[in-house]
Amino acid sequence: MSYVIGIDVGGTFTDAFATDEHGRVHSAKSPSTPPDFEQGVLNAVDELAAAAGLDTAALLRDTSHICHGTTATLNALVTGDVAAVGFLTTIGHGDSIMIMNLEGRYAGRDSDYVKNMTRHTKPAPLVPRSRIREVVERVDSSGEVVVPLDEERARAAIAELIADGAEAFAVSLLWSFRNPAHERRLRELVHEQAPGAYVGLSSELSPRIREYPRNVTTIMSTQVGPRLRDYLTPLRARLDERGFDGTLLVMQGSGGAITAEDAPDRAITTIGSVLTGGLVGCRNLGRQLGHDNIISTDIGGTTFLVGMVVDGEPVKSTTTVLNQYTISTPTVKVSTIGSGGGAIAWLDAGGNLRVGPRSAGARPGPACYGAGGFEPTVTDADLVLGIVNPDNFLGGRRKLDRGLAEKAIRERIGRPLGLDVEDAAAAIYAIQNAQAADLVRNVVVNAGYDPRDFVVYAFGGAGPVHCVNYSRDLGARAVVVPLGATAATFSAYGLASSDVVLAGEVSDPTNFPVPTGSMQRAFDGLEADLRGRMESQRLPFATVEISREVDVRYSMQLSEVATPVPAGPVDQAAVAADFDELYARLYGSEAGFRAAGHQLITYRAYATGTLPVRPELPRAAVGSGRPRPYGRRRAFLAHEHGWQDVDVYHYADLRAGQAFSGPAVVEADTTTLAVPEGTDAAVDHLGNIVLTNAVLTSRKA
Amino acid sequence: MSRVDDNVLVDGDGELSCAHCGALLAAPGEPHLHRAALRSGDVSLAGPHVRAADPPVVDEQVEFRQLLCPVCGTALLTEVVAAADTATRRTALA
Amino acid sequence: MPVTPVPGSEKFAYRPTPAARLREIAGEHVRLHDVDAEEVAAVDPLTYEVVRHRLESITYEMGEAIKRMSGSVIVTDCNDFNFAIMDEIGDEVEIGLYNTALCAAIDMAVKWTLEHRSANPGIKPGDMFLCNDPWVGGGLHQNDTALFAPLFVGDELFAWTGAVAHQIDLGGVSPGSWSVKSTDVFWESLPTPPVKIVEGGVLRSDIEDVWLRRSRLPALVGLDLRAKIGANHMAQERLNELVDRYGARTVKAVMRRILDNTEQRVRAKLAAIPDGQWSAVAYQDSAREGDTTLYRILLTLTKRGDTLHFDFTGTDPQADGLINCTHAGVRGGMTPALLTALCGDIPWAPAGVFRCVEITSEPGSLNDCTFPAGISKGSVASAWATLNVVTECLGGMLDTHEGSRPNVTGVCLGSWDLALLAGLDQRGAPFVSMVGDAMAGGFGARTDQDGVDTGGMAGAPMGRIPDVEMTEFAYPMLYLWRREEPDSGGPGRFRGGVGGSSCFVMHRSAAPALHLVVSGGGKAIPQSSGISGGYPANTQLDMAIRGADVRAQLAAGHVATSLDEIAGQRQVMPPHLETTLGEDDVYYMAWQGGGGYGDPLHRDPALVEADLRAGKVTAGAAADVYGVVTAPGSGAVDTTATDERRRSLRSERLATARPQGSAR
Repeated sequence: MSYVIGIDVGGTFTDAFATDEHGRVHSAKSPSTPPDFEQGVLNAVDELAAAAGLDTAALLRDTSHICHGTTATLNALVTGDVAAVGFLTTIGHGDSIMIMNLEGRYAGRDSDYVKNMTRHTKPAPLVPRSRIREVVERVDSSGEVVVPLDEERARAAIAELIADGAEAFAVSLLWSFRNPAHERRLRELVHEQAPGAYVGLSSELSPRIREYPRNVTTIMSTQVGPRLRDYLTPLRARLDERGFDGTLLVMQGSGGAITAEDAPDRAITTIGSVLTGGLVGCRNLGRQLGHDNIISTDIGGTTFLVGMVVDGEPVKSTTTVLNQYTISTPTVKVSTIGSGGGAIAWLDAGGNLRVGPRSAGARPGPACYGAGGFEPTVTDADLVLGIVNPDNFLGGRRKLDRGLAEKAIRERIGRPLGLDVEDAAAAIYAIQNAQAADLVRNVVVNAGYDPRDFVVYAFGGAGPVHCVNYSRDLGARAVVVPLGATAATFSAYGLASSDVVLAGEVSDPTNFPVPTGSMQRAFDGLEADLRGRMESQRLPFATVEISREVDVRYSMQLSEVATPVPAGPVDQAAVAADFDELYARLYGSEAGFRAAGHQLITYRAYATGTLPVRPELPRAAVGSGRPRPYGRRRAFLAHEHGWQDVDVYHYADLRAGQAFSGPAVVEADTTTLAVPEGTDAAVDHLGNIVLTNAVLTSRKA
Repeated sequence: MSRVDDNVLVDGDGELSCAHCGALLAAPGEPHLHRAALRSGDVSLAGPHVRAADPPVVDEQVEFRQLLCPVCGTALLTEVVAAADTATRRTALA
Repeated sequence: MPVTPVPGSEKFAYRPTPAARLREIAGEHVRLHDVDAEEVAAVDPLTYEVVRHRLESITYEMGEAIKRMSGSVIVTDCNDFNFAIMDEIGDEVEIGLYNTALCAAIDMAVKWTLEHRSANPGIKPGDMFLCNDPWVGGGLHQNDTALFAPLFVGDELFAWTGAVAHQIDLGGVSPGSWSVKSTDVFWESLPTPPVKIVEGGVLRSDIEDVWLRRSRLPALVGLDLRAKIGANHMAQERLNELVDRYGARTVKAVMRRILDNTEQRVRAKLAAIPDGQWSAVAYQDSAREGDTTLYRILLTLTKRGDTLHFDFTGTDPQADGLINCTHAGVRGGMTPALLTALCGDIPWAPAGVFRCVEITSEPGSLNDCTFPAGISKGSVASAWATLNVVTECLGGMLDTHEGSRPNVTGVCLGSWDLALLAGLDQRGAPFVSMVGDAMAGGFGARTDQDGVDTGGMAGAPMGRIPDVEMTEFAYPMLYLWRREEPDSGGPGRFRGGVGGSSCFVMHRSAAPALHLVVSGGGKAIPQSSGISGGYPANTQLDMAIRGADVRAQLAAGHVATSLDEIAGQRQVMPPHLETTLGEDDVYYMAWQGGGGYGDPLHRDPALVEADLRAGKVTAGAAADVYGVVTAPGSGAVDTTATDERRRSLRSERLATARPQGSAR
């Protein structure tokens, strides 16, 4: 079996990427088919086979695994098309998901929302009160049973839930991660009355302290588990019908994949699925280019996504927010910081020029699309500034109307501000760039890092238009624009090149030093569990590696830092010392209060199984010297330099090894790259364009 | 006619009327809601959630008060106040 | 007995000095950076927006930095802190989104420092000042500690940065510094006027020691001090980068423009609203343990054209107790409401907003007290009550205009229900902690929708309460319940948000009892008032049940879900009490919801039906207050019976009413 396939299901397009052991790559793009995305997946596979010059059966027969990034769980949660869940929790605490620790009123929302406090709302309850039942039981912080489970009353509660229409059951009891016995017994009791019913236990899904996010995680996972099962089972069957005999994997939000058999039991881990492909792609490409520290910026028509790779691994967050609910499942941290190329330029009540956060999206889209959008967007500004070519936008797939862009900008921005169209467009462009830099910087700095230590990777339709400007503002070392074989389907490439990663964790909050042996025991338990689960994936892993970490904090402070624990016998003192160092690096040397003592909160382990077939990106055709531009045009690429005559290149004309300087524009099938004056561009061996500052400029007023 | 609040409308001359039944609440020049009816009584009239402190915590009498539209009985202003306080809440539109 | 004035303390009783005079005084000893009106007008829209966005961005970064570095749960888990960027004379240009009341007076502290410290000991690059004296400014009571720093560009003082956060304990007679027996400030934590704690970049150990010496938890307070120093450093680094990039004159011009812009846009909003006058009263029950007096803060809000006049004349004289607040507290009661109701879409530049505002307040009154009145609860007593009355009056005003009506809200969480515990935790270590649950108050109803249930408190857009498990991990407590309370939301056509209750016992403490400080108003009179006929939210109830049989119940496999199920000696808590909680005691606290909007008899019966199903309202209230009748089996609204019931309730109302005449 020599192919691996990555399939990225997006809202508009389903991308497919295939590579074989000889480094041949093929990609295909097919429209997504909501609400049943399955057909779109199969269509993309067909197109992929055609691109490879094979029929579908021949391709699939020869495919060792397909890694699939799905929006199914995310969409289900967003649209509310989820299983009717009955929620069982500890007596006295059934309101946890209503109270939401208050943060549910604003979690994940931007500053404009937060300031407008008189208009705040909490989202609808995850589970209506009629399907919440409190069970009589209580475990305390040390895991001791204070009140045993009242099984009679529990049975009655379960019966009521079933009568109320519960299709699946979520169980989350206080302190169950210390003592899961009551949760497990409740699952048995549920199955007494509803054999085979889907039951999610918090002690299995998210055995971590803090009951509110754990409740949310358990409920959401239970809501989507059945739906995910209903999506993957037929998909698998139809792939099998078409000759597929390999493994179907589903991408998780944590940046690793899981088998389709396993996924529905841990459905919540797949909600970040569509966001991770791009970041994993950056990590994998970074390995090939020698970049360990990457800021990933993905700017499409509707969103601007930012993620980070540090020391060769995607930065993860132990929580994520969806619809103002806080979920405690480790995901790669991808922040949505803006609205992409469709961001609307507007004047606020004070007559100030603002860009976003409202977006024209894909429909009606920018004014220049001629699809009924009348508000000026960033893409309209890019067009008026001569950066984007109306006749060669996205490889000519879409014709843009410059007149409509000018009209929108002139009427809505130019005239009210007393600026001509070009100046107004330049202002929109500059604000978008500066804002992007601020927002990216916030993400990087709030994670504890300095953007100057990073390389920016810029992809998505609108990323390369702006990337040099915002990266320069950030002070990043260089910018890489992935083009070449992966360009059209960068996320699908990420999926195709990912490993299988399983995670396990357990909270055991204890003051340091913890009793001898307990750390070792916790890790041994996690490791044994992970190895067992890896085996049951039944995949021919090339290697299986276990990595371990423990969330540590100073006992009086909030911030827990995941501290790596090297293989071998556990050395507590070394862990504490490593934490001290990590903490000082992230937050400053004065910031840590060692005298308060350490607390170890949560143990976590990852098992990474590498798959035998790994995509090798093909080398681009080689050339030398300066490439030849196909033309010149007047364009505005950067504020400091204003309007200039710039060289315009077709990406297809560029060769590995060639180099050129700004001011220039590169037109590719998937995107446009603006290279302002003062930036040097080089085409690397894979066909990516790498941009560096020739001279750093700054202005003083 | 413009809206003063959920229950009260004002016209160009400053006449206030009930938004629900049209009743006159104040003629132009009269104090705000001059024609409203007033009922007062035990704090329990505010609902089961308002309990007289037991034992009492202050040495003043506390009471429930409500201004009503004299025709349809709509509550225009509802408060729990010290019985001794006469001027608690006032409005004067220009 | 009225407090004895203290001659010599006059210089600390601060009212912000007008800008021109301040420049004169400070200008003798320090060069203040300035730009002229032309430069301000010359800032182009692009530069303005880019620099403005950067300033906002820096403020949010600083907030995150303080959270990461701080050691107090109040800061980290409850978000009770804030940060400000000010210009060279202390006018606040950008503040964070955490506790807005805390940024109501940090400008006062900076201005006072310019006036009183520029000569001696002087204000130089690398200096930082610490202040927890609410008469000077900074915060609203002594726990609120401000740390602010001048930023020099060249040899000119260009701007100030400042961080302020509630400290868990800064001395005084009672743990947590809430001195419930206090008759004056000498019972309480010592107010410290601005002192140069960092000199030329070096933290002065002697002053740090003096500062920490007063606290029961010096390690925690020391940590917070470092967190604030660190945050100021980071802010100044980022501001320096901004100045390097755009030039000092441009950045300052943008700062001025932000203030002008904010002022202009607030004035435009005000001008569109009809002129008028709205007045209301905010009550507080009891000024200290054993006091049975009822107190009043009066406000008459006048809007004329594009200005607001807040007149607190008639407010009670200051009390012998801990509930007074200084002039900083008056502003602290105004700032959260002004920002959230008027500046939802305008930069949060308090100095710009205050240009549109006039304040009449008499020194020696409850919310503008003179030294040495007791103020240890000021922030959540008289300042909070001020916020209540401001919210009500602003609400009446905003309701008269279609454009501003969406920003009306009833009063949120009318009072702070303090339960402070101190003692030894499960591991034998000393602890002091406030029960944060009481922050989960109901928000006031809006004109078009209910108030947010367990939404938080009005002064904290991003407030938070800890998970029960984190509390049980950190402190020796076991919760019987923490839940929303039906009926606690003020009835109305739109219902105020519900509040909630917690009930807990001691669990595994290394000592047999905990120290308990109780301080919660709203027991005599509910403090979350409604608007436009809306009813107030619930009265507060705190209770200890002594010698309770809870442990026996738990051992027998029973968990109580109501106080009625628990036998023992009931002790209803007065508004202030310092006491203990023993191993056989249960503690219950039920805090307030939000005020309602409009007549509950007008509430859409379908919404009441939904409220019943969701447990927000009980059957009794549904029938008696909302006049809604539902079918016993299905719970569906019985329209005919409801119409009849409502008709009958209206008649009942009118039957006992009399013409109100000219009494008002």
